[in-house]
Amino acid sequence: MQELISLHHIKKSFYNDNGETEVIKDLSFSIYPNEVVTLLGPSGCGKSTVLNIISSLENQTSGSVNVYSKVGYMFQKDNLFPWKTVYKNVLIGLEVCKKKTKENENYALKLLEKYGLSDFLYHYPEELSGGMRQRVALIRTLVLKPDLLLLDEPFSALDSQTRLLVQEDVKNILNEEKKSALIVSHDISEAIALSEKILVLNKRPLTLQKEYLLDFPKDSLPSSRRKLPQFQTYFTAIFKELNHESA
Amino acid sequence: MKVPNSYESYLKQKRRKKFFILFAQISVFCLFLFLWEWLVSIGFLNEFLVSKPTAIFQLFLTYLESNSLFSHIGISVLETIIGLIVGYLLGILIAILLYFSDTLHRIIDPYLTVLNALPKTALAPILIIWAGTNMKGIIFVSISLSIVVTIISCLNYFHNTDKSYIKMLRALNATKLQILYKVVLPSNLANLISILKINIGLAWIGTIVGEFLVSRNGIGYLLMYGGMVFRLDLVMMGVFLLAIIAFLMYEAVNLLEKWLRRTRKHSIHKNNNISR
Repeated sequence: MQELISLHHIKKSFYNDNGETEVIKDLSFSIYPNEVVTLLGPSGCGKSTVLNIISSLENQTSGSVNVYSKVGYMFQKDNLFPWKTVYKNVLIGLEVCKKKTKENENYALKLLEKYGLSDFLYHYPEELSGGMRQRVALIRTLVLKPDLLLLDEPFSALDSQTRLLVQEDVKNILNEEKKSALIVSHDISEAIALSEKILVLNKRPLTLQKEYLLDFPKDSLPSSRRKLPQFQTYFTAIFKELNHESA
Repeated sequence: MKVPNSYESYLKQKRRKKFFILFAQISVFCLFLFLWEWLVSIGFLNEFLVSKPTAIFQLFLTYLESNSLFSHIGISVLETIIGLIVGYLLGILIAILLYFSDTLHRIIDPYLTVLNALPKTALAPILIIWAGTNMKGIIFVSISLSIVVTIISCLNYFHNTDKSYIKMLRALNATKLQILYKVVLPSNLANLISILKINIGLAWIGTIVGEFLVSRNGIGYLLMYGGMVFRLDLVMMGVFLLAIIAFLMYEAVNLLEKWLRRTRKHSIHKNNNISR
């Protein structure tokens, strides 16, 4: 099967007046269609840098990144423009990429309708709940029809109730639209609830510590996964793995 | 104080408070004028030095009848508005240029700092000689006052634009120009307007100083002339006129701000209706 992206021996260093800081030491992995992969690691270990490199916001110091598909980036903050309506916010990507055709606009409307936002098209972001805002942000990314979504801690700005709801939403949307995703997270249960594969990362400099392939029914949602016995098993194992490293 | 028990009484109370504040504001002004008049009439204040409201008003009526008042006001307002608009727009344009080129910004930065710290009025005589000892020179001084502050504060606001918005657009491969007009400018609308408000005062300083130096017309000329011939009523009238006009210009910008906010929301709704 053709991979969507593949990274080979990525190394990334930041330079400043005090010298060189090695952030990523050696990282290789690939993502295949219909796969949700989570990069799991402690805060500040350079996970987001990996996403920045994939979306070419930053350049790697060495190694190669091969992107074979269209990539969409979604952030921790929803970044909705407060001076634009929900609908206009969703069209931002199309405007920037000069793809604002009638057809694409209709696709945006269809997505908004499908995910319960049709009554809020002309509302401003401030009038929406945190969960809805995040859904709008996801749709803004989906409108450009990416094959792979990069999600940078997409739930960490939400309160714990909303977080569960939005996780459910996002997984559902990924299933429905048949998208792959690379999620960056420091939350073990979130990683297990959402992904097919978890890459546990070491602290700075970042390296791959261990890879977990999760065995859950196909397209299962976070709420049903949490009820399955393997959820706890995975949690315990990964928790040990993460804390073993820091001890 | 009564606790409002319904929405109507809340509104009523709010209206009443607003009315009270306006009433108090006007009262303070009237009281001030009355006290001034009274203190002069009992000889506590020297009329020669401070004049008095009724004398100023008499003078105002004389100028009004001779029609020269409006030409003085008109010229000063014209000079100020041209200076304000040119200085403001040129300032924003230069700020955008420097925002795009970090290297250029860093090269120019010390000169900007010096220009900002320098009292521009000290340069006014030179500027007027360069630009011409007429209206052009006065407008030039007015521009010189507002442009530097505009450049520096605009740049500062531009650089403080929420980085996560910019990152989002960069992830969409947006060009610098797209980032400018999609995020940097719209998110700084309120800041741009507050800079415009600050510039009103600065442009007036430029105009008045310019008129002090070369003019035969305008409010600055009235002030200068009044001072030279010890006609303090004339000077006071000039100050009053300035206060009123500056206030009106400030309010005009307030209206512009309200209108911009409304059309921004409104135009979105309108476009939506068309596309549906």
